Amino acid sequence: MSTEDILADPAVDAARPRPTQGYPRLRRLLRHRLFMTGAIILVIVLLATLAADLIAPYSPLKNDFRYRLGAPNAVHLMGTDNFGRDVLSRVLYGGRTSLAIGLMVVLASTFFGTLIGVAGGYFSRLDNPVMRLMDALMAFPGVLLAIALAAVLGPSVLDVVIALTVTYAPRTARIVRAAVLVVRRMEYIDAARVAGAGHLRIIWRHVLPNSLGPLIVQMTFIFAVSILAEAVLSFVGVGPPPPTPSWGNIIADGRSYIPSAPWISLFPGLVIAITVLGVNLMGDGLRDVLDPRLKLEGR
Amino acid sequence: MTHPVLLKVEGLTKHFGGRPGLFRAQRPVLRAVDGVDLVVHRGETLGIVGESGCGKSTMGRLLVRLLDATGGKVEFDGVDLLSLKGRALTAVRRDLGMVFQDPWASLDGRMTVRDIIAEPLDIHRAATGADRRRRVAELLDVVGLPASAADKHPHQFSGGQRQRIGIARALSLRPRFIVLDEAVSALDVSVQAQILQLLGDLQAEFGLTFLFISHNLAVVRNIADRVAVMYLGRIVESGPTQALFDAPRHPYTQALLSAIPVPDPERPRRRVVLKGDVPSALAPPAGCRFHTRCPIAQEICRQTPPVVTVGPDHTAACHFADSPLTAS
Repeated sequence: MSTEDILADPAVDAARPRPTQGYPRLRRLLRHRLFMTGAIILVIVLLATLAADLIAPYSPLKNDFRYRLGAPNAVHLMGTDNFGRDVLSRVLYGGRTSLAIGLMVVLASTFFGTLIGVAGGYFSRLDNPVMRLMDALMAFPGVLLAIALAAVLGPSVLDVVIALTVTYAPRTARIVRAAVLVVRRMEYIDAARVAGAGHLRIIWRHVLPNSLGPLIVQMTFIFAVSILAEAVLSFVGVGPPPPTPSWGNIIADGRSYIPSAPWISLFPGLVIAITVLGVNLMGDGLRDVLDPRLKLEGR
Repeated sequence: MTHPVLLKVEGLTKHFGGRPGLFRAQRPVLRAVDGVDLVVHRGETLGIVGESGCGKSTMGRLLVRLLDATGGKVEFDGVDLLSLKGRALTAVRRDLGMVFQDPWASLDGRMTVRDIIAEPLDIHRAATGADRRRRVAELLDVVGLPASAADKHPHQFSGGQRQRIGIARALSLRPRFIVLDEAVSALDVSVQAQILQLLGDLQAEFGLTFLFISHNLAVVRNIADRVAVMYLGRIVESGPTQALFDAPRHPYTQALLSAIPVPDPERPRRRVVLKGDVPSALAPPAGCRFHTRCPIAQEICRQTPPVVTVGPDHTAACHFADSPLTAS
């Protein structure tokens, strides 16, 4: 009996260990300290934001001119702003806007970036025209492009999302295209074509599942950068319009009072820093686990 | 060979490069396959041998319509294969199969073995539900794998087992013609023998016709009924395996055969060592393509391409195929 026969023997086969059982990557991720730290930070921020209705001590929009520019104290933990609004409440509600913008930008730029990247990587005819256009978009510094677009589109949450998507989708497209170029040459694609599979089937069943891995890390990056970019856009006056709070426009509103009331800008700034740190830690953890160079199991 | 003809190839040509694009400069034309004439009989195994880059893989891909030919004609069971498009092409694909070289790259690691083997069935909507499960189980059994393999992923198998999965996939629509492109080259020698055995059994059981592409002469001698030798995009000699190995007529075939190691130190070996490298397919030599390296080349070889000399079922594209010079 040869090795091949032994391996094919059902009885022997049943006794063999199964390396993929129990999601080894997920287990490695859960053991990754930095990833878990980031995940815990993000979960806390998310929960606090979602529960703003329950835990915010005041309305984020209620003016109280008796307490204008009040320093942090037991009643207003993060102080009050120039209209006497409670900064803590505004930060909690503002998180909804900022995180929603981050999430929408991630989804939209992943969708359009994947669409464009697959088009360029899979259909070689489209590659040059499409990717040169993406190169042109990427030639602008990201935030500058977003500012220009937001200035044209006008200030609204949706316009901020569109501006940031136009800025980050080309980067996503590049990554997807690179992965598709590799996958496209695999023999299993040829096998599907010999069997008569059409382009849509090949893209959906083979190309996409095998090329989206590198995108996960990129998605965390875009999420973090979008939150920062929202703050930048607000700071130059093209962010989400007041009075709806976002982390960015709270900071922007407080900038005239930085010498006398630094807490208005300081606290939302800290929250942004912590959130972005958490997301980036998750991204690093994901990369450690997903990076093929560190991958232990063979394919 | 009294069997009827299944596949008839005339003047098959594939040129790469050439046309310039908007962002791309004009590239020189690479003549990968440059006028191949072939006949494959029903139920036989035709071995295609040649060095790396001689165009044998490209030819295999042309015959299953993975690549579009530049010119020539391929008649498959009376149908003009190269002119088919759309539905008609999809329909004829049920009769064509292919087994690939690399058992690690030819199976999608994210799919289960069941989905891999059933993919051709899914594409042609040939079987669903319980029928699909039954067909996969049958195919696994046919290639000597346990039914439990269906729900596993390819990386849980060895190279030989993976190649069996690839064969099961190629068989799933019960095709009549299968191109095996270096199908055992990536496997260990002991595993090669098992896969070759399996292929022989399957051929007998299902009446399959194989085009067996390989650079390994020993393997081809083992499995092929007839052999065609390729050099620089052309067939230089073809004939029954026995005749071709015993009495090669083309000097290139003689050189190839003399390079096979003989596992007997006592036996004298007559090596025909070729000088130089294979000329570039970007600028193939005029006249006989082989004249730049041929030990018996004469003036005529530099001038005119050799007319294919025909014996009974044995052809050799050499001016001196019948002369004593090659009889050595």
